[in-house]
Amino acid sequence: MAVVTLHVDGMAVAVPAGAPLLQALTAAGVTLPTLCHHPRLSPVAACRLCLVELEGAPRPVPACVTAAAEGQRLATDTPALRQGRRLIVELLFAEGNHPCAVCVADGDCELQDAAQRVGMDRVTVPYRHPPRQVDASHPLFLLDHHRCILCSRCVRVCDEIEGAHVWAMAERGGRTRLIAGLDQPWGAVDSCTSCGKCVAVCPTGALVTREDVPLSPWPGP
Amino acid sequence: MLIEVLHQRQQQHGHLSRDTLAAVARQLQLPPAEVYGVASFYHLFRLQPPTPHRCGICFGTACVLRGAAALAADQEQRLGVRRDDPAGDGVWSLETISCIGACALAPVLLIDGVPQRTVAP
Repeated sequence: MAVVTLHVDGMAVAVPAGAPLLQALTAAGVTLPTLCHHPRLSPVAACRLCLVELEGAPRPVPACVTAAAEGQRLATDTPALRQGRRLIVELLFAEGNHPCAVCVADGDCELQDAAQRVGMDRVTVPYRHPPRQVDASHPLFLLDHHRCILCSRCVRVCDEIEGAHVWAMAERGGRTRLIAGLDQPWGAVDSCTSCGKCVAVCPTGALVTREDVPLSPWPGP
Repeated sequence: MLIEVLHQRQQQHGHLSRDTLAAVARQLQLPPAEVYGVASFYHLFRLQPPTPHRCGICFGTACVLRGAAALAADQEQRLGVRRDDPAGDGVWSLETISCIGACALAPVLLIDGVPQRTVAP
């Protein structure tokens, strides 16, 4: 496979041609906060946290879906990018309902980690406080829409790896929400195999294992 | 393909019920969640049965500039229904729509899909 050389913040790195720029960043030892990206899932460039400046490009490009090419020069930590990243995280916090102090994911949350990484000490945009629901219809897991950031990892893992395709995004714009089946209670969707992959990939506390149900040993096939 | 079938079903039934969407998913061998996701994404697909009469107000740029918001508020009061509540009062419902290309008539008000000559309220 052809190898290309490019510069990440001035450091020369070599990656396979066409690999996502994110791979070049990793090779250069640069880790950016990412929320929608998952190494085992197709990239969707939804969260925009991995935006980098590419010399010659008119605007920042998402590193997760931009292909590496010979001679590219990337900047990953300019003031504009830092400011943009922080604003994105602030908007995510303002868009849903994310009181970390009372969240089961507190301390184990990629959104919280991202906020710390970008230095978000407060939210400068108005909170929306959207009225949202909690879906506790599944016997093992819980879906709390308040904490969902619509990264679509669960949609992709269920489609691409489990093959059950329980999840999808419904509606659009500010009303976009995660749905199970035909907008049914999760527990009523018979294609769900209760595999828990969606829970495993959820970056926040939107999909969690229920704590009120004791886990019983797998009864066998 | 999915969108064409959804259009066809909506023409047949007036709206896309859950049963219709489930049938479409089976017919096209698509995940139900994806079918619902697409149907709910587009405003032109109705997921609830339409009221016998419908009042639409265009919220395109020209219409907004010519007072569409005030017109909508006025109609909300007159009809006694909430905007974009597909159930309305059982007879009338009021929906906001995107530009229909009749900007010369702005603000555009449609009764049962027919643009009316209106004046700004």
